[in-house]
Amino acid sequence: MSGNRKFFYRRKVCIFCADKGVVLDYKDVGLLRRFTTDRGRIVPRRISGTCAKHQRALTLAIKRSRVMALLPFTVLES
Amino acid sequence: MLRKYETLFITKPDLPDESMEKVKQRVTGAVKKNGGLEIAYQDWGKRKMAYQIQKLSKGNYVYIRYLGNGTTVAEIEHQMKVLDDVMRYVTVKLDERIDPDQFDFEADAASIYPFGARPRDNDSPRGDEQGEGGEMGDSGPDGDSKDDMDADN
Repeated sequence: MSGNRKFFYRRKVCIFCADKGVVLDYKDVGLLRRFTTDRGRIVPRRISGTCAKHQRALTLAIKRSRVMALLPFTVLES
Repeated sequence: MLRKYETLFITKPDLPDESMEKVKQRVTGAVKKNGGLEIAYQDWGKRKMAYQIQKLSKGNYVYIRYLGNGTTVAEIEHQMKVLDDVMRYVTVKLDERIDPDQFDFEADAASIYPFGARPRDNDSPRGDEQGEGGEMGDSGPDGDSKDDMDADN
């Protein structure tokens, strides 16, 4: 059971912990999109390798971004 | 002591200048009249939205950053609800305990990046991204994971 192997397989490094300069911003679509699947769903922590604290912040940012129509809630396969 | 807030809101895309001006007056007025201090008011222009709002595909994004207290925020949000041209809004608290006398308004205003478009080092190339290419990609997508991604795509 490897789940969604779309993203980084390494579990070690949380990207936000590693590079402190990166700020989580709900307006930063380019950054946020790396943590959503092609269906628009939020990538689970065990795939993206983010730590708990940052995953919570990330989730909040993604959800705000969705409200402001910068990210979709869902993307339908055609 | 004031707090730092930002409010991002979306207006209908094809509004005449006078309507946009009215919105601006209402919002900045709300800041002033309620003990707030405006840091910046920026119209970020039209953008295609991720889904339709009020049957429209594009929206005009406007951003305001200000110092204030709860009353300030309440009044701004009230205006958001009242103005028909405003379709969505979100208010975020950025900081606490700001001393307005010591606050560097210009420096802060300069640090505002529309849609998070910060200047970054573009190291890891990610072919499937448009716009802001590779952000802090070092510890992230390496040889292996990129291969996984490409396989899926």
